[in-house]
Amino acid sequence: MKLFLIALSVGLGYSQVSWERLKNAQKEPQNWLTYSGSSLGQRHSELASIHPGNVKDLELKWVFQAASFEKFEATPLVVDGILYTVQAPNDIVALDAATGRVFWTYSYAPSKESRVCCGRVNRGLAILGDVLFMGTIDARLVAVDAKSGKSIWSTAVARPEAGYSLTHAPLIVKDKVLVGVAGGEYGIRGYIVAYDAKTGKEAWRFNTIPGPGEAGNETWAGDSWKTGGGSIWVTGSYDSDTNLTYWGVGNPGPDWNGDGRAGDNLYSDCVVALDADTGKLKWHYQFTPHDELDYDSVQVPVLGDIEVKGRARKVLMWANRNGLYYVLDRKTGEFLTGKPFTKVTWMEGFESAGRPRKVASAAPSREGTVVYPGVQGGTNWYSPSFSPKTGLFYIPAWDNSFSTFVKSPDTYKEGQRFIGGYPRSSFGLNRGLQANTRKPEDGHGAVMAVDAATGEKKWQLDFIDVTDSGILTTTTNLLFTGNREEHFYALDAKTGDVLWRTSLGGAMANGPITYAVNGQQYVAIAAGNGLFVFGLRR
Amino acid sequence: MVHIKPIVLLLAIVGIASAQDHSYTQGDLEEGAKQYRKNCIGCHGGEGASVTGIDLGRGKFKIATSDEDLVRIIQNGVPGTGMPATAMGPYRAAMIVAYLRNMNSNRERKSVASAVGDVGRGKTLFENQGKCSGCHRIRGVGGRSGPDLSEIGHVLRAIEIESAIVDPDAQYPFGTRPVRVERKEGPGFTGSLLNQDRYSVQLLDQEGQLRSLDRSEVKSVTAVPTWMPSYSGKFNAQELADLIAYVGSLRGAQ
Repeated sequence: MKLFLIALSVGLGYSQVSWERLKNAQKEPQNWLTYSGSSLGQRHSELASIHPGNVKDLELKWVFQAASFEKFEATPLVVDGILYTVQAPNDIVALDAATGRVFWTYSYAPSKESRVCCGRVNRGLAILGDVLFMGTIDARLVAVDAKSGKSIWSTAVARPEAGYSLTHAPLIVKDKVLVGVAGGEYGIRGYIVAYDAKTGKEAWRFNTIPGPGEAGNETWAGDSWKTGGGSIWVTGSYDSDTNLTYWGVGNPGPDWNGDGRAGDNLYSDCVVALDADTGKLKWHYQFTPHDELDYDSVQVPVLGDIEVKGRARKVLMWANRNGLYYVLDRKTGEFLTGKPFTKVTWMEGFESAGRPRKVASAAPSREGTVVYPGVQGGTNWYSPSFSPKTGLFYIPAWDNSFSTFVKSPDTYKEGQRFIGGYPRSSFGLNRGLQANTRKPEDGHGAVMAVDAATGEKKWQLDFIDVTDSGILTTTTNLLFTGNREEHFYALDAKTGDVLWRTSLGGAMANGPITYAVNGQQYVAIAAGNGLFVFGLRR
Repeated sequence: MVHIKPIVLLLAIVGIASAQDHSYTQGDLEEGAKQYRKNCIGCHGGEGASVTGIDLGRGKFKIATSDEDLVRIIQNGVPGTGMPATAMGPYRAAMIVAYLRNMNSNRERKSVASAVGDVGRGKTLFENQGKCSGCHRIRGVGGRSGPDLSEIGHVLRAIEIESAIVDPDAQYPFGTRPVRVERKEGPGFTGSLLNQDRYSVQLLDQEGQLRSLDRSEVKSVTAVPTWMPSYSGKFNAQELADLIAYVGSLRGAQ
């Protein structure tokens, strides 16, 4: 049946994934059509075959071993029985989603000029029609035929030699492919750019660091905006009701020395809401003004409709690297909730309109300053999940973690690191390559469930080591996640109770997904260098 | 443009550290130290300063200014000099850079040892007066309750060895984390913590046994002070220098 459908779609020149399908992705839970499962960013599925009563019967169905030693950060797409993923840095692999057999591999060798701060990684793909889109670490956007794996077009988004790269999965809105540039440790000036999906021609561009004449440029001293960072490295969201696309923006540059960039440094560490047709800024909210702690706001913007203070609201939910959970009105940007989910020492409360009262002494210094959360944040880019079923927001967290932030002078030179200091990790020096000898006082990983409206903590599952794994929830109140302890979990989303776990022998640094083929539900996560796919014993 | 040469991919320049962490992980440093010992120490020395005009631990390089430059040089060498190209992939090269960037972290400590130590005298001190062999194993001989020192000369620099002898509570990348594990039933164990997760604890106990304990049978895991005594004041400056010279000479199978 599946093969027949594939043959049929090729034979008739059928454009497989229309914008209508993408816009309503949550209505076809057998597929996983975008990075977060739908443009709402919830990483929540309506598939119900696997539930708390049978999750203990999960078994390994197949494994894909990547021919890559890079970290496996990609979330796969699943389209009508075909699974597409990225073998880091930038090979695309198409597999039979039921068996793991490979259809084709698209090989891409990034330019030697590419330079990335934090690993030659890629977080995934987008699809529109029969075309897959991928950003590359040498800052190109490539369009590849989903049936043959052959290149259709490729365009230079930015100059890799200047430290620009693309690491996140693109976002499709209507007929456009949206991407943003990474490189916040290289003194880049960030932007989000939309390309015509058919031609690769630029449609609009939004500068995350405004230049002269653009609103917000006044928040940068002198010429500091020119190297202001504001990178984009996690996929944004889209709301068809407002026609706004929401993106989290990275740290200002240089990371740990703000002396040369007095001011709030907009739109670093912001969520920006852009008109999806024009790229014009509708509103923004800055989580961490004048950041010197590398608190990138590059988390997935999660959209949902919930009740806040007795009133039904269309909101944007956000667990930020700075250690606070936020709720904003997604039409207006109005600040509704801001509450720490872990120990936070860089701020103490809010002024009006949600502006944080920063603690002046919690800034990098020559001697080093201890600040909570540490450089990796209370959370980071790891996908959170929102379950409309439980009303809870789930955070992959680093609880009670700190760093000692050291400030040093830095001078911008194109293509070289421009960071202005360094953080010292909180954990001790006895750590082996795969071993964990972390002390309790060094902080630890956790899965946290907070009330989506108030940020009030409902439950927490603690690990000894930290976690880089995203979270998936399902309508049957299951929660799937992994960690650096190499365990893959199914939890009860209401209580945090462990219902099932298995050791995958490698850390997980990507978000789990679920999909179905021929009525069988699967759950997939990458661990180490392999993609592991589970399903119920039959 | 589509490239189809996977080998090019391996040679491309790599970034350092893991996802969005700008500090090096301890894993990076340890792997870097291993690779440094294997590939670099012969010319650059344990202190990183054996080549005239270059001091790797203090960031003094002739050509490189950035981490990327260093990775490139480690991979490609420097034509016309003694620095050869290596077949090293970007991952390993980047880990060496991580190690170089942290080599100097303990250099500020002031040494109390005399400048020149004697390896032979140091060996005698180690085995007799110091009773070091009771806890430390060297090439298969000695106790196991302390770290094996067979290759310690590749791992620690002189100043770090001295610090470990006179101030053993100090943390070192290649040290151990002493813990006491109490069980719900039966005797507990004191040893070096090797690994742990939510469900289990792995350690090398003082009897030299590798133990993996399920947390369901464990009452507590607590950090304890190192059982290594401080030798501060027990040796004079010359004896300390001798001991350091001997320990620093331990570089694996001869």
